[in-house]
Amino acid sequence: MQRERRQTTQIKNADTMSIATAKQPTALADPEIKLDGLLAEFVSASDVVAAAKAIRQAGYRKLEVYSPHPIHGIDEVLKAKRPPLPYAAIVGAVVGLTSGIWMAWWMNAIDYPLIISGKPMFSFLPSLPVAFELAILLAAFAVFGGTIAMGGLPRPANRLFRIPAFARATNDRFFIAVEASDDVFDAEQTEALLRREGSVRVDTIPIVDVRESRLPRPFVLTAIVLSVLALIPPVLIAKARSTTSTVPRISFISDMDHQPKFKAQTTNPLFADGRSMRPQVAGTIALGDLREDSALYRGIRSDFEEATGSANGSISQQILAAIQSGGEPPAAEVSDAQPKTPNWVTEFPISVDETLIRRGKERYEIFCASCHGIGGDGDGLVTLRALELEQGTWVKPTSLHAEPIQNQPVGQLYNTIANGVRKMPGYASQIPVKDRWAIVSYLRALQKTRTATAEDVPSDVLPNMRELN
Amino acid sequence: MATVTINEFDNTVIDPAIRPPLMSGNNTLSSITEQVASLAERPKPPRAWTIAFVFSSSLTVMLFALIVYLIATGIGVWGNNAPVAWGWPIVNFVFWVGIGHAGTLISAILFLFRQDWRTSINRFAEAMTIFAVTCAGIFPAIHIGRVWFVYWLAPLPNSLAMWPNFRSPLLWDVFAVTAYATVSAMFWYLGMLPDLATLRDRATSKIRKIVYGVASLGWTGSSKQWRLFEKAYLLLAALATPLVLSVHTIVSFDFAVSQVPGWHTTIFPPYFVAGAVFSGFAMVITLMVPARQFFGLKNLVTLRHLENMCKIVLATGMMVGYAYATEFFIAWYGGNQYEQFAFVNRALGPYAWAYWTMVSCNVLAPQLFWFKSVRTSPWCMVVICVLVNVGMWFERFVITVTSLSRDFLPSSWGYFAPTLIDVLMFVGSFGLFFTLFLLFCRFLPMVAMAEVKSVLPAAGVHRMESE
Repeated sequence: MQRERRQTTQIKNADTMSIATAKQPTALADPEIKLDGLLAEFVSASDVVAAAKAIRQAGYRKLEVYSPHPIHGIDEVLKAKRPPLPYAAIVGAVVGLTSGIWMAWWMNAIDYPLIISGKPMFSFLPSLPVAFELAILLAAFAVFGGTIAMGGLPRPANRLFRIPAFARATNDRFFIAVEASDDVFDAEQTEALLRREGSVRVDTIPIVDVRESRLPRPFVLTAIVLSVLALIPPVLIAKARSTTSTVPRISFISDMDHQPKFKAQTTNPLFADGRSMRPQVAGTIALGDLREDSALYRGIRSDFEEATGSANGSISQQILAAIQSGGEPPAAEVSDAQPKTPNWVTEFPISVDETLIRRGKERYEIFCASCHGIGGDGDGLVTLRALELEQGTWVKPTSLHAEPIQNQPVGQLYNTIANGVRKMPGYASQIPVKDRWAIVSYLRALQKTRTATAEDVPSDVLPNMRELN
Repeated sequence: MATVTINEFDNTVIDPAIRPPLMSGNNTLSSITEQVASLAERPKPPRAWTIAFVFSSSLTVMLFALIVYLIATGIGVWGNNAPVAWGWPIVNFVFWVGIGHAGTLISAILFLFRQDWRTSINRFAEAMTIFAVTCAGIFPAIHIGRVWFVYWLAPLPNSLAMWPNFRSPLLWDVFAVTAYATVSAMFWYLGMLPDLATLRDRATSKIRKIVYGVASLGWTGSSKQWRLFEKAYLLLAALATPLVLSVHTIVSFDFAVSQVPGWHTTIFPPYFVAGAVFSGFAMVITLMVPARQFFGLKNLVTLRHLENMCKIVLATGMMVGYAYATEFFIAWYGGNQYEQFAFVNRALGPYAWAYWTMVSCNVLAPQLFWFKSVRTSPWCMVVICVLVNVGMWFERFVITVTSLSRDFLPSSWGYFAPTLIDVLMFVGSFGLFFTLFLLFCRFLPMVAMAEVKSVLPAAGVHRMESE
């Protein structure tokens, strides 16, 4: 304490000396200057608090204290209200928190549902980090913005800055400004009161002529020119967006738009023939080229296309129409315009042996028997159940032993399996090509069980069969 | 330069009978202004500053040249490659973000705990935070490869009609680091307003008047402004405190939320925060000791300040050491063989050299701070703190690289090797950090004058009366 007191005394002495040598200012030296208030200087925080207390007691209300550091207790003396910054912070925090959660919900669950490892589209906990950070950020913005706005900032020009002594308000001196508009203000009496309360210097706060503080002409001109120039880019952009152009667009960053590679139908100097598209290497088959084998893949002889010609539209359309007709016996009114019956394959395009037929039996029982029945009589379990339900939507499959089916060439049977007929769907996606032929081979065997005679059976097997009966 | 005489009073000795003063010497309001402001007003900087600035700014130029090279060429110029897709850039990012934490801790948490000794060092530490976060932000930004799409990180409406994934820790990280940088900058700037006004009022040249006049926003120091200032400062401190803890927590989620053995551990958030405070305080000491020496601030930043920071370094260093031990314990106790392998591999595998560098720098070196003679000899602490920062860089390296280099599939194991670009970019980031720091020392008030004034005994007399 002793040390502190000594320090204070030193300051006071020093200040008294400087004031004694300086020209003593008088507040009312020039009656022409219109008075806006008085600014009194003090040397210590305790002096300024005491003076502010006395001035308030004398009835003044429009006074403000300036200091180089916050003075604790001055707010009570000035009867100042607490700044509402905490409320601003709460508003900012709530807005941040809710908008964080809302973004996570709306952006990832509603507007663009984002599936991540089968997790729920929205869950509360993972949205919290972002919501928390936003709450802090917006609360801080509210506090910072509130301080700036309520503190009357930014305000680079201020009457007080015109008083040279006021420069020490941010250094080591304390000031009280009393406004002239205060009810009890009287220039002489107020000055006397301030001096009596320990002010070492009182200055007048002049009313500043606004014309003095106008911007210099070059600043104004530069600002005008710059604002006009600033309009050019948006105008150019607006023009570019509303008109068409034959010039390729400017790409600042091309990403992978232009790749150093050879494209189709271009030349390539690396090859002797100068073509960038390479012909097929001899002795190879390209992927999918096996499908060129019409007999195997479609059950239609490859000379069919030449035979039908191109009179009735494209070949594929004709084939489609032929397939859709289902190989039914042509009705009486069928004209020549009707697509011709396809040239069905009559011989198996693959070699038939017992393994193939057994494979076909297995496949038949998996894919076909449920409707057509094990024996091919159209009495599969699904069919029986459907007929029992009598819903009227079920079409009983044709018996595979019926005369027309017996007479169908193998290509047509194959086609029915692959593409379906009438209400039967195609099984191309379930049954591979070779298995379809296997089923056809089994079907032929199945049909034979009803039509075969004793002559069809090899003579060495015949006696055993009788025994089996 | 300062007119005060530094007295020989040793304020590191705590005698309960007398409260040791926060600053030494006979400081007055004007002497503090003079001492601090004159540093920013010298017409010519000292020779040491010029040499340091030329050196660090050339490193900064190198960094930016390398960034241009990287963007033009692609991130293949780094050593990042499968299986170590996160190499040095992420290590550097976590390293720099961690360093930033001490600044906010000193300015916000110590403020809330009414630790008045912080006033001498908080400006310095906050500046360090901002510059460290600047260095940190560069690495993930250029790590994304096509930097011109950096705005995809933000939830902005775009022509793809897509939004970022709010369940990804990488998005949380974007929010955390930007919020942290913004709030730190606001906190720093708001605290600096009164001091910028001091520089404005002392300015003699027109340019300085205009620049500091614009920067100080017309601050007058009215009681209304101080009222708002103090309330805002308190609120920002209260907001920054959970923020600083959350930022490194979220940075640790980048690792902990993944399933890589060695990353997938719940201890990461507290462990990362302790490590961040640890490295940050070490960096403050590393910068503060030469600064107070060269700028004659020994009476404001006393040995007691440095000693207090050494104690924090010691405490957080032991927390970090405890975390290392806990990781091993949990790996054994958890019974997950991948986890066990990850940790055994860390200590005994191909990166054992990095692991043991980390342990000796982070756990063993700070133990010297148990000795008061070490805690009170500035150059000793600089050496230890540099070691701590080396150790903390290696901690991030060990976590990032060893875990990735040997994960679940032995067939995809690899050994990470940085390229020259990796090394030079890291060096360049130090150049950027020091360049910003030297500019700060040259043109801005290095010590929070107004805050120091308010803890002077002369101001304190009235403060005690009013309370």
